[in-house]
Amino acid sequence: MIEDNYIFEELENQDSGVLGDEHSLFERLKSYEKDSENTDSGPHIIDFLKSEYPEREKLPALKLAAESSGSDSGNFKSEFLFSLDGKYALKFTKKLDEEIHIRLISESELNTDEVALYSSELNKYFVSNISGDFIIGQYSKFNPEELNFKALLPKTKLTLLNKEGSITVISDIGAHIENRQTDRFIYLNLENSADFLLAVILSGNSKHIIKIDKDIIEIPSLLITEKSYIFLY
Amino acid sequence: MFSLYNNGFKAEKAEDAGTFISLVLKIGENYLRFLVSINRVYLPFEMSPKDAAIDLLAEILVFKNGSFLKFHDFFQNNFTDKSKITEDNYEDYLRGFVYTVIQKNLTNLFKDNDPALYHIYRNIKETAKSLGYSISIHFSDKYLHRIKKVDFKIDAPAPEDLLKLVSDINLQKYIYNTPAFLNLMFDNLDTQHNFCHAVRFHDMAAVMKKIMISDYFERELCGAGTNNFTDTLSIKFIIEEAKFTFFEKLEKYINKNSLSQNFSDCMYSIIDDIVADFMTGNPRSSVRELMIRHFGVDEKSLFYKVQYCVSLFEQEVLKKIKLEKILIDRR
Repeated sequence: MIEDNYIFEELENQDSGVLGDEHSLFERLKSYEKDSENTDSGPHIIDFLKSEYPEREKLPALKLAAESSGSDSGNFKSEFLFSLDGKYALKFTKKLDEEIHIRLISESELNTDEVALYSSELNKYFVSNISGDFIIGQYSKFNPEELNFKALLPKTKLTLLNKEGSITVISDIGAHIENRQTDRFIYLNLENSADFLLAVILSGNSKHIIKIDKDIIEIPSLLITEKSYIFLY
Repeated sequence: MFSLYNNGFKAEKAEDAGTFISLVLKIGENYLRFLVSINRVYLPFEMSPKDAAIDLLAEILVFKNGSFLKFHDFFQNNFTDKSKITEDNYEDYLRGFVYTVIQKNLTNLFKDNDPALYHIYRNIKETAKSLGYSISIHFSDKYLHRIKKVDFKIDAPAPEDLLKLVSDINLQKYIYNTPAFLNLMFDNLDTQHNFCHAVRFHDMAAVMKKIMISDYFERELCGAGTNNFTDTLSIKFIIEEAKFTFFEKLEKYINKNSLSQNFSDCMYSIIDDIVADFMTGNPRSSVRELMIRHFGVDEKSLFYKVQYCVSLFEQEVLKKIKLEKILIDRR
């Protein structure tokens, strides 16, 4: 099948008909890019605080919480913690083996698969398992009723492509592989990007927290698959 | 980054490779975001323009042995006159390559994420290939044409012109016979003087999708099973299911774009009109007619938004119909 490419012609020349329309669309794209340069990408942290419970009528997530309660099974009733704007809920379910399973529920555009949780009382970060549950173990050692949480949304995401041992980092922050890789680790340089608190690698279906020290991320080589993702929070 | 081009896309430092990748990714992401905003591209709903750009550009961004081989090969093979590319116009050439790759790979996004639409795209492409048609790649879409050399200095038919053409020559009955559909459509289009003899790929798919949906309802309501209570119930069920999933998506779209309550109300009324047309077997009013009827204005930027939402609804209906057909076939 013949495929003629008019794109280069349309980027350069103003003409009539289709060529002219396509050229004006390109001009519009350039203004669109300028206008969207400083667009705020929104908050990266959602607070879930025990002390600041939102008013009941400001709880859009309440409906979702009620719907999800209907599916509870077992002997333990679920509990919920709502975000300050009432749009998000954390659903807590105690399981038999000393585990609390936490699930983030929302009806917004939020991709809950990419979220990490932080508890200041436990001083610990959590990532979700394949089912989307964050798991806290040995809950009898602390009082789960008193925990506050922050849901962290990634500030950026990197993609690692591994083609026959040659790794390419696809990012919008200029991240690149350092030369000093070993058999066990490779090192990613984030090029003086914004301060990141946490790095998580999604390898296959599982997520792992990996070491980040200023601008350098240490990635265990074993976790690098053909296509892996790193979320930076 | 012009030095990278001068160096045959070999990066001496890993930092340069990282910077180049982020530049290319930004070009791709902005391009897709823009095409979505003017309704020339539909992305699977959960997919962001950035994720789509990564998927579509991954193959050209592979950095191996210090070099971006795909960039090197493309520029080497397509631009033999090196003096044409200067530091001033280099970024436009880079953009041209990125847009070309995205246009070529775009339909692959739907393979796993939206099989119903992917099936329509693939069907058009494979049929066009077997009939010896040509495809031209343009900035915002690919164009399909039967004659080899098209005069692109003339306007292309808008989706509404295509729909009118299809309806004027009663092409709906060939909707499941793509070769006949395409041939008859171009028999007519190639004789017209007010349009160029090519159609946008995206519009073509949208028109076929719309006819398939209308055809399904027409057959079920006006065909053999006119008074069949079960069939009517099944159609109502399909519509209700589609409305349910669509309204969830519509709410997300409205929240994300901070659209007004008025927009929301008018869109709900528009969907009610479309459903009423489906249920009575009437041809659906055009998006522009619906917009003027409910919003009371004829505005280009609003039109894109309304068209996107209508397309989203029809997408949901089509998915439910496909599912229904699979279930019926299994019985």
